[in-house]
Amino acid sequence: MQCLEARDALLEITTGRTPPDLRRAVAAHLADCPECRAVAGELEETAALLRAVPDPAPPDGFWPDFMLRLEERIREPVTVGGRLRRWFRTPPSLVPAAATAAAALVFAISSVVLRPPLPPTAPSPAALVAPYITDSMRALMPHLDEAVQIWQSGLGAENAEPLLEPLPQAP
Amino acid sequence: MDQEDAALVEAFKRGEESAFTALVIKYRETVYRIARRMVANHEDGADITQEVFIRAHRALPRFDGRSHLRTWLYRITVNLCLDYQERRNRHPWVDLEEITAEAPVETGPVAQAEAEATRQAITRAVAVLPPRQRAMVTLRLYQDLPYGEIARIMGCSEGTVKATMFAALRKLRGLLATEWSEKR
Repeated sequence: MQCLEARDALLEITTGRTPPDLRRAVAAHLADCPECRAVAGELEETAALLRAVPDPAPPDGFWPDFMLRLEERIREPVTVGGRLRRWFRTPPSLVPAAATAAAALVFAISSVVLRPPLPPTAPSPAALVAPYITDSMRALMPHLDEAVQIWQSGLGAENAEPLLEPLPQAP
Repeated sequence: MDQEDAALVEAFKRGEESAFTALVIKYRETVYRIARRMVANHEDGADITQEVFIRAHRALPRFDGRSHLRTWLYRITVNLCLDYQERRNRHPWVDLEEITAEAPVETGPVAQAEAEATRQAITRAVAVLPPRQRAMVTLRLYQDLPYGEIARIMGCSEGTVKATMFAALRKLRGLLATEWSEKR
């Protein structure tokens, strides 16, 4: 028996039921092959450990309730909406996480929608300057308002280069 | 197919609803155990078990009996568990506390603590396996199914099942060895 064959059989031996002749053949191979003996030991121990974990059992009184719910669901008419709902439904163990996520989303949306109105924006430079421009200043400088507007528009100075070429004058 | 199962399926096809109830009673605990080992918590295991029988009820009239009813039911179970795992991967945590909450039947606090620690380590190691490997380990080690039947359930060759099992057991061995060496 070769190692590959022996290891295939080892899986049968360590995790299931094996016919006696195969078991004998594997035993003969193991006697001469330390590597396969080591693998056999590992597989056997791991399988034994896994099998030692007891079968999970539902809580007491689970099955009668299960049968009732099953009967109800079998009687439910099958609708496309119902199928879609079941397909997209959250697994029960994820319900707390989904609820937390939904609450966080609602909080985030409501904090945007229901937040108090923002404070008024800063007054424009023109509004800041306006109280200081008196009538006498306007009398002395008739183009003051225009100059303020030019300054405010950020073009710099009255003699700044025009952004666009002036349109040709009509003859 | 098992003669009892064949008779129940035929009775159900003739309209005897009680035959289906008998099938549910016969297989519900095994289906629950497979689902529970795959998903590692009671709520989801119970939900999947319910869904398995809902689907079986709808599809049983078309069941042709070429395979074992058991194989067919386990295939539905494994597929639902794999679908569940797919959805669950977006939230990859495992309810280890719940699965390890079942008190071991041991006497003495030291033995009990050791058994508990071992079981938790094994549960954590199994939870690390990819879902298909976990399904194969569950079907083989806990349900004692032959490799051929596992191959039919998983929709792959017997050789693939054996190779996957071999890899899964060696991986588990490595994980358990690491865990225990860290504790020492």
